[in-house]
Amino acid sequence: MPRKRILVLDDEAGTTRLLKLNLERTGRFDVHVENQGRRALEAAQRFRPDLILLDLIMPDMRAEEILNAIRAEDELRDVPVLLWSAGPRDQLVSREVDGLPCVRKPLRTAELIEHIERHLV
Amino acid sequence: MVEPSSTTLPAASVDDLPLDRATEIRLLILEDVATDAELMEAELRRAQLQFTSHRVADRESFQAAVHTFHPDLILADYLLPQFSAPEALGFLRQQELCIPFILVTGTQSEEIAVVCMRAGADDYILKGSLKRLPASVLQALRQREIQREKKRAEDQLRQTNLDLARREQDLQRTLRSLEKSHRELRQTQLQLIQSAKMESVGSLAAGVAHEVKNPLTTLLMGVEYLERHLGTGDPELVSVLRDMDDAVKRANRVILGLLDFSAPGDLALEELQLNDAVDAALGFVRLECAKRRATIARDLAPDLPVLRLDRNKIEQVFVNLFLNAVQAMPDGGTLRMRTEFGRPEACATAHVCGEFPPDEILVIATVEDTGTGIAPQHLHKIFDPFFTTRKTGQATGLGLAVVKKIVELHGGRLGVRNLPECGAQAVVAFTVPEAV
Repeated sequence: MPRKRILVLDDEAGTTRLLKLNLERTGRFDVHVENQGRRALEAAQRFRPDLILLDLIMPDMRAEEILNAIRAEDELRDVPVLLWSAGPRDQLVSREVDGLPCVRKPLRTAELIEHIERHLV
Repeated sequence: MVEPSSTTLPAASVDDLPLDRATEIRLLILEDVATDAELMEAELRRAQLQFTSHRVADRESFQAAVHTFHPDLILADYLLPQFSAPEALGFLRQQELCIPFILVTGTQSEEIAVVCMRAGADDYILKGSLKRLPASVLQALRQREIQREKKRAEDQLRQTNLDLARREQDLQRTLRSLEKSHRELRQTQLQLIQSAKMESVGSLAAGVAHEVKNPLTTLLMGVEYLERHLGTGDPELVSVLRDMDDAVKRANRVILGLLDFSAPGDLALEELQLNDAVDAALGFVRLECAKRRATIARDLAPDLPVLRLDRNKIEQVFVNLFLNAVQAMPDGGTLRMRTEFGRPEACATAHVCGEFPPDEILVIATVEDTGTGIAPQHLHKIFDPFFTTRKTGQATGLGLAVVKKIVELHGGRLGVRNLPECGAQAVVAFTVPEAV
């Protein structure tokens, strides 16, 4: 089974580095990390992910902006997006990201993998 | 030399007259012989006393004159054809009138003098020595004036004392009401401080949550990485990693509790049978109860009115109350759960239900344990966020604070107290909405 390509967009470098290690260690994923919101689209275009894990709160760009930019690209429009957030629950109820699945930090890698696999096309 | 008529006072003269000189003395003369009266008047006039006189000779005209003529002084013969000086004095005493009274008589008799002086006469003068009359008149008037002054002063003193007593009572009352106000102010101040604290906890919580949860995620991922990377061969390593994992979970629980506590009061209301929420919550804690050898005694009223509640939040309320109850019984016991409904006055838990208007219908849930109860010194703190009696790390101290907030968001009341025998009791009361 080919490895699934996961693009992780999150500004916490410590988290993303370990997440990449933990996910790739399973042998089921190729992970690309981008810590800057403004480089998210470029990273997505280059990496062509099977799923995007998007942090809801990134300091340099709002999640809905990143989402809109990605959705505007034909070849990226159908890539499933899984949100994850360290914020309180009510911050997820913003209209632009409404309807997208969201997991709450912190969570174990195994739990995250369950969510990822559920939303992979 | 003229001997003073009184040993305590010097002989009076016109100058000593305490009255205004221009003031005329109103003189009532009780005398049946007109010339005798004229002699008296002449003597007074000779001493330059200003006076108006009125002569009477019998009881009726004397009594009438006392009330209509308003005499300042009475000169009276001892014996008249139909009246006498002692009778006149008796009348004055009976009327409680304090008019100076000088006996002017033709007969020199010590016996008469003593009788009259005892009856209240001021002086006793012989018609043969009228020279002494003006001085005696002045003396009597002056003495009466002094008596009046003394009485006035006494009255005033009495009045002042009364006023002082009244003022002291007023002050005592004011003091009591000030003390009461002070107590109320302190109470209000404490509540204000408390609510200000809560508000800042609320606004802090959201920011703190985000800033803490990201590093927690890194830590958790790191622990997982180390678990895989270092393997599970070394038991010491395994326990260190487990401790780290627990620490992350603990920190996360605190954050979640804070978020629950500070979350805005949005309720997803639905029509709900309270018993359903209770049963769902009991389901969550059944395992914990079994583990701690706590038996569940469930006594739910079958026909409860339907309420409008947020199912998840109400379940959270009961899960919290059940866990508190179970944890209060480390050696096992009974967790008693009861639901009922009725008017506040019919409610056995008046400390909670008494706060509702008497015409409301209440649905009441009571959770009781047979545990150790709450230490009296802790009772007033149990709803404070972060207050806990359990060991650090075992509890966040937010459970009851969140429970109380949720109940109050639904317009309900929560009361917790110790039971007389043993254990504690939590009472949750909701009003039944009218239109359901």
